[in-house]
Amino acid sequence: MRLNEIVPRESAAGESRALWTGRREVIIEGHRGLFSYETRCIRVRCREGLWTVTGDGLFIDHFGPEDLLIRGSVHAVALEGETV
Amino acid sequence: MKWLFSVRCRVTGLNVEKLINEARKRGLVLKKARREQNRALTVELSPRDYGPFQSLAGEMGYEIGPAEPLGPLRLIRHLSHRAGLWTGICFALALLIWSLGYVWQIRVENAGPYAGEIRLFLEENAIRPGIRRSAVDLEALRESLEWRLPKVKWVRAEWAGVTLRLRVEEGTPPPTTETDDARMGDVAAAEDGVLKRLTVYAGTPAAKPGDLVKKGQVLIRGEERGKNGETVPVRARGEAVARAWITVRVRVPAVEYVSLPTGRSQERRILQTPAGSFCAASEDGYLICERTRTVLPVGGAWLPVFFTRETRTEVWLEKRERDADAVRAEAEDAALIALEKAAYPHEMVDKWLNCGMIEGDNMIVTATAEIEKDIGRRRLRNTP
Repeated sequence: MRLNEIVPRESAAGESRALWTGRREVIIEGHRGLFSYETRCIRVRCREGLWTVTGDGLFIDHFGPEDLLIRGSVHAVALEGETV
Repeated sequence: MKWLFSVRCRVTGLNVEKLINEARKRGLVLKKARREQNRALTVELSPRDYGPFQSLAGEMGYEIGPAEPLGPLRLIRHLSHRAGLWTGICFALALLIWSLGYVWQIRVENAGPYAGEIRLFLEENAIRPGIRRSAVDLEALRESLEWRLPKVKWVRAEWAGVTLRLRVEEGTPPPTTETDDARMGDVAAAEDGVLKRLTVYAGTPAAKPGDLVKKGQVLIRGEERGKNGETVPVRARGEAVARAWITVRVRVPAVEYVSLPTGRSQERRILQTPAGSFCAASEDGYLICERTRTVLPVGGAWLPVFFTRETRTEVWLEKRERDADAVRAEAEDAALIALEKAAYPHEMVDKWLNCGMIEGDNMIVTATAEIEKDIGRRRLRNTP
């Protein structure tokens, strides 16, 4: 059984979620917009606070109404100071 | 999902995050948003979203550059400026479509002995490569060929692109029914020889080893004795190995012709160009002559102009007799080679050469070989 089937997207009830794939990309679902955008740090608003993605050569590969995809060399992902 | 068509544009202004967020609120999907400097951002989006994004940036006071097409869109724009290329492509397509309406190849398959007849029929009806496809009625062609070739089971005429393919299937002739008398037969000698071994599988032997048999002589008779002493016809079968002889005759010229100069000669200088050859002197009327030519390329490797110096020496031919021993040796060697070829695949038991003799201007040598072979051949009863 896959993790998406255990915790489906619909069960999050408006909460945001970050999916980190290796060090290459991070998908943030349920965001509420961009707070700041630099090549070393991207901050994304969400209902719980701010998702902070740090790394090198970061860029937004996809920016949709509900989800976004960040690519580059990702070092860390954090939510309001709480390590994910 | 990746977009097949997209455009890239550059946005400049303070706090580009606000523009990205506003675009999100309006449902515009951005791709590959890269921060170049503090105030610059490059972003990819679909051509349909570029207009709203441009107006949004203008409303918010951002400076937005022109849309740069990517992928196939870029290729299309690149090619749209090359009218000659499009003309060539259209011309090639038109030529291809036009050529598809013609027959460019005719292939006759499995016709065997009727291939020539079918080719002749096609030629008579002017069906040849280069005619229009619409001028060929496949059904009529098939019926005509089946009518013309009665021993053919069926003919299939079909198109394979621009190729007219005719496939022919020959009919199988019914088996011939042999009468009992015809099937019954003897084994007779196919040539003269001394019988060495006679092995009988069916029938009655009519000769014995050591006999000198002549061509046509019955070796195994096609009959056997029945249970009650009566004679029963059978099909004689057996192996009749005999010593036989083969002879070859070789003819080798005993004279040769030698050319001798008469003392007269002529030297000419000729200039050869692609337009023709130019020479001041005409050829002397020698009956037989030898030529010596020296060619000098005047124009190097790229210009085909040559200066030729030709020397013609008049000769006459003298007939001389060759050395008799050499001619005989050559004739004997040739005779032995011819004998081996004639005896193949049988092994030669013995071979010898007859003395050479002069006949006219030729020396003739005869070689004979003794071989062992099966000389028995089946002969039907009603065959004379």
